[in-house]
Amino acid sequence: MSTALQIIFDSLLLIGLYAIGALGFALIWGVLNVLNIAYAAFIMLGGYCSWMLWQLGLDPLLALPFTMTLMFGVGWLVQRILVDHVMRGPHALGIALTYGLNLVIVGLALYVFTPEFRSIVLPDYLRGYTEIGGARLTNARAAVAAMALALTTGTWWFIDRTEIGSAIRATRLDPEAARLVGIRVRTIFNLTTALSAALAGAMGGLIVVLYSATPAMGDQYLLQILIVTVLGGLGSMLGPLAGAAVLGVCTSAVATLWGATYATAVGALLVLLLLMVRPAGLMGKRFYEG
Amino acid sequence: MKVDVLTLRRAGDGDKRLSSVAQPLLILLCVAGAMALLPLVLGPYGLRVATTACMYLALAQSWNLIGGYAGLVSLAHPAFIGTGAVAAAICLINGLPIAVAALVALALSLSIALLVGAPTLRLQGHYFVVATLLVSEALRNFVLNLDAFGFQGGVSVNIVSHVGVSALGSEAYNRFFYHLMLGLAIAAMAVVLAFDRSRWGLALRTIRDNEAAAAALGVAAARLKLVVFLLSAGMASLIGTASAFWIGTVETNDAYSLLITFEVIVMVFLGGKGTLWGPAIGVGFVLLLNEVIGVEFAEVTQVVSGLIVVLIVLFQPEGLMAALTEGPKALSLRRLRENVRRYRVS
Repeated sequence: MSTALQIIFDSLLLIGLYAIGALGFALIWGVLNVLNIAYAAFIMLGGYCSWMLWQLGLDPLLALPFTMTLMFGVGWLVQRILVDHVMRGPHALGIALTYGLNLVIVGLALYVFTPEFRSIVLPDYLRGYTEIGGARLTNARAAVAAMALALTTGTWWFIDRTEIGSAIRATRLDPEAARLVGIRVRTIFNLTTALSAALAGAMGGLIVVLYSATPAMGDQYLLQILIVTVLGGLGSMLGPLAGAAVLGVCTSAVATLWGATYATAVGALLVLLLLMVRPAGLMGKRFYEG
Repeated sequence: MKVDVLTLRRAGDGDKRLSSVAQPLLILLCVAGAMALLPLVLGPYGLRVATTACMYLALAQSWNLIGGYAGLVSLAHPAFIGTGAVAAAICLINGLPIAVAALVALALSLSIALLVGAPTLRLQGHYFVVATLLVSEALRNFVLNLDAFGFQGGVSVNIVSHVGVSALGSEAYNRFFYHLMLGLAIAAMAVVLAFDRSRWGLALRTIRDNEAAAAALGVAAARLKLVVFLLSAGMASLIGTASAFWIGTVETNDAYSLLITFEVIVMVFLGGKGTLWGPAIGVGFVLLLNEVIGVEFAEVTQVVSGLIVVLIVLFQPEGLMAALTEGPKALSLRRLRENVRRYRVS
């Protein structure tokens, strides 16, 4: 019992991180149909931003809103200046463009920040733990899980309950029709990427709290984000959370039972099997077929 | 009723079609002949660069088939390159002769391609990209944990002594592998040439540009895509085997490295995907650039190659080939501006 509980607690951290990351990734994939490789660079920039704010004396969790705001701006600019120009082309162009952008940003980060690990000292309130049913839940894990829940809820509310959110949904369904009813499609695209980048920034900020910042930190998570996004499916704000829960629990269970080296393979196999049975993911709706 | 796709082409220009094959073939053979003589003038370092260039050219053409002509951004290439290297190395250290080892690796790669190709090729859009990426990563993780036949995440011994050409001096050894890689590169070019000028190539491009229309014309889309996927996988496997024999050491993470595939894709995009000469231009350009920048500035290389990708996607999505087929006006300011605006959201 306590082993099972410990597996779940251990996975809370991963579930939270993956859910936030996949939420932003699914947003830009779902609405813009762009597979944004530069998302890894966004995560990394968010991580370094949080680290620098912490160096200036800010609490690492309080730094998150600032990081997210900054990344919101970065995302807007990237979409406006670059990605907007490939939106109507074959989708391989979007992948190539964001891949190139990722190389540039990560390369520049290597130059500016050097490959050294940058960590922050955890504040006291994140260090303790509570014992439930013989298993330990550390405060940091609980905080990350709570943050993931809050961001998922917030994004769901924004997309599902506000007027701008319905404009985003309308654009995703049919950009031409959206234009006809007076939605500024280009602004919606920019806004969506900005939101997605803000979520990537949040993920980076949290990674820096738990682990450390390196120029390659985003690239390491991109594969897991892809797995979670496909597992959860596009078109539902709950999808990333569900996908993250499946992958997180599987990863923790596999790591506990057989060893961590099999975790990625199991996740990948899970997705491949799911794609055979349900090509739209666990909770996904079918929007983009081609 | 099945419509012969050949009739899509200008009907009745049989001899024109012949010359459209003969001319590039002639150029190809001349270049091949000239390159076969290169070891006479190149030093050891130059020969190594030339061998690497041939390897990348062969890889680029094998990816060009699936990524360029079929328009499917497949990231399953590391799986086939890696399996080609690892399976052949395992066979070698267990005493099989070099040709048998290459064939076993090829058969294994083709079986994997058949197994994953049939289901993944049905996937649409980005799902195909993600699925093929996961195939590569899953296989890499599986092989990393493999502990059998004297293989533990890598081959600890240098397999050069098993290749059977170790009796040669180091110079002759390198020359042997240069000619092997050159042969593979020329063969890859020839396959793409044959494909480019055949009705299969035409059918494949029709599928890429409009699958529904192609299906309506009676093109067996699913089967053709699978055949090209297998062809591309087989080529990648052979190149993986050859490079493992050449380098002599096999390590899982290097063999199944995504990085090489990404580099190859950049080369194909840069030169011009879905063309015969484009990948060759791309390979030449990127390798030349790497030589100019030098290995000691790794992050500079990364930034520069990233910038190249961004610029080429924005300003010349057809690749550098456009400059070759249309002349300098393809690089005029007006054309570049048009290219930037072509796919922009309005």
